[in-house]
Amino acid sequence: MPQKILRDKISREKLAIVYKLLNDVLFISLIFFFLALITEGLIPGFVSSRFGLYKLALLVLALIMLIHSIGRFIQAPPQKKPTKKTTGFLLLAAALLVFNSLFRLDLFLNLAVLFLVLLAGYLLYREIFKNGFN
Amino acid sequence: MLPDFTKEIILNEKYCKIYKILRAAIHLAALAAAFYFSFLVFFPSRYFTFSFLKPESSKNTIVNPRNEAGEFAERGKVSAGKNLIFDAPLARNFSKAIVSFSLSEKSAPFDFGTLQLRKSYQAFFYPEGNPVGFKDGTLLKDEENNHYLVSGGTLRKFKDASLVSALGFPKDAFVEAIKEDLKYNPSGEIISTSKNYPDFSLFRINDEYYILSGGKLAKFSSEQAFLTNYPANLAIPKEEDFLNNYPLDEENQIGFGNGTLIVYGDSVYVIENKNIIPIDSVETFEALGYDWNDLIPAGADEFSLYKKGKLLTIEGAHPDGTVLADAENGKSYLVENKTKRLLPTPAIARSRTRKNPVLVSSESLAISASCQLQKNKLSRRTFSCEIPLGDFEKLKGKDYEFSANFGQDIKLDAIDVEFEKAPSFSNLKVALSDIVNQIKANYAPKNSAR
Repeated sequence: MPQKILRDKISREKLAIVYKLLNDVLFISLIFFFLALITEGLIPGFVSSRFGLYKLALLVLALIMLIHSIGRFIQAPPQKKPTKKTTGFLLLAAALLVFNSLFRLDLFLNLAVLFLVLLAGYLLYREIFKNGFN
Repeated sequence: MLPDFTKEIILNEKYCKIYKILRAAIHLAALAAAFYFSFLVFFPSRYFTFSFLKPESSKNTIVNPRNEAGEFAERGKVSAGKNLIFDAPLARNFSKAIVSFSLSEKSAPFDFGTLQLRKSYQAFFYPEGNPVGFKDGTLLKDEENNHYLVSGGTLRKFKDASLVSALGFPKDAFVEAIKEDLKYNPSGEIISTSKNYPDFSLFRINDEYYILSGGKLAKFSSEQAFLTNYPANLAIPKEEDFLNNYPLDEENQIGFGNGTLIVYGDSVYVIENKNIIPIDSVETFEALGYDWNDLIPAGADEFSLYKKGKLLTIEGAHPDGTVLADAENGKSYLVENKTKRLLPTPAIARSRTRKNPVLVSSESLAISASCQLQKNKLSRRTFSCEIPLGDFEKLKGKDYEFSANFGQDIKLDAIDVEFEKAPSFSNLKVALSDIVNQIKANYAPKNSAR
């Protein structure tokens, strides 16, 4: 029995390393994804003609799911809510990307669509984080 | 190093060390990946391929593998001493080309093979056809003050100068021509009566333009369409009652001249006979040597006169009606039915095109590079060689024409061509400049020609 507990502890430690490494890989993937989005926004087709953005998106999704599964197994403490600074930065980046994608539209229509997208994003964010992130 | 995003997960000393090492390895791998992708972006390679096992496949990017007679190399068969010719279209300059031939299992390996390369436009590589004369409707005057109308390809002489005035042909519309200019149109019937107009006479009635053909008046779709075919002063001004003299050809409206570039909506098209051919991108437009200043806006009525043709991509050749002009030797050619027909004199060239010609260089037919095909070390059925492309950088044209000779009968499965850019400071500058231009083009005002 103690051997089983020891084996479980070692395997939990290894999974904890995997958990931490996957978080690092996720962060790096998100940086690549973000840079790819900016580049694609500035020069449409530049990234997508060389490499399907959907592959990067699928990788990010797979990492999130894997992190979530392992986190539950090793009973990782719940993630903290994003700070105001991070949220602000992400909002600004999202707003610029949306505005850029609608660049050819009439300015006021572009701003109206942008406002609606940000409003929808804010309401979704509030819904996800209202009870804390489990 | 990036911050630790999972500080709340505490590891013991041993595993913490392992984690730090693995984390450092991941960061290094990410950095290496970033450098690798940057290298691919700034020094890209372009790949072209053709599979004789699947000749209809859309993955085939090498254009038209053929023999010297222009016949497709069926099932990859190449006869001894005959050339296999194929094209790879490329808008940008590269440092070298690596060409590989995969032999079929049923083919004996060859001992000796050579590969030659030239660069220009596919249309400029076409065989030369018969020279072209003046365009129908052109008015000419020779050194002896004889007046002519080009009608049905023939040179129809006016009986005398008074007949010219009686019929109302504008005197200033007659182009001075020498004997050399006139010999490319055979002589036709003399115009001796003022009662009827000869075919290919042009008229302007209430700001609308007409051409007489087969005894009927065919209307030009717009003034712009007329001006892409003829200069304004060629049309005889007439009153509306003139329309009672000849029946109107309701079925045929005359549109833009062959080879005209039009813009409709957000797209650019080129006219080829009754077809309107869309050009797929800015890159293709510029790679074909077209001039943005030649674009003519078309209305919906004019656009509907044509049948939409197959998309013109960078792999395509110039359509019929394109005029190619060699800036070095002053020669011009008209592209027609996969031949290039010489426009033998400047006067004839001016009658055939009303827009800027596509510039070509006769030097590109003379400059070539070659290499000896060698067996690949890793595959006994693959032969390849490398050709440096430095000599081709300044040549006009987007098409690299390869010509392979194998010295014996062989059967190929596939051809592969890889264009590589050498990592150098000058290539990096060019790549950065391209990227900046692409960004600028993306944010250019919508109503600009590009």
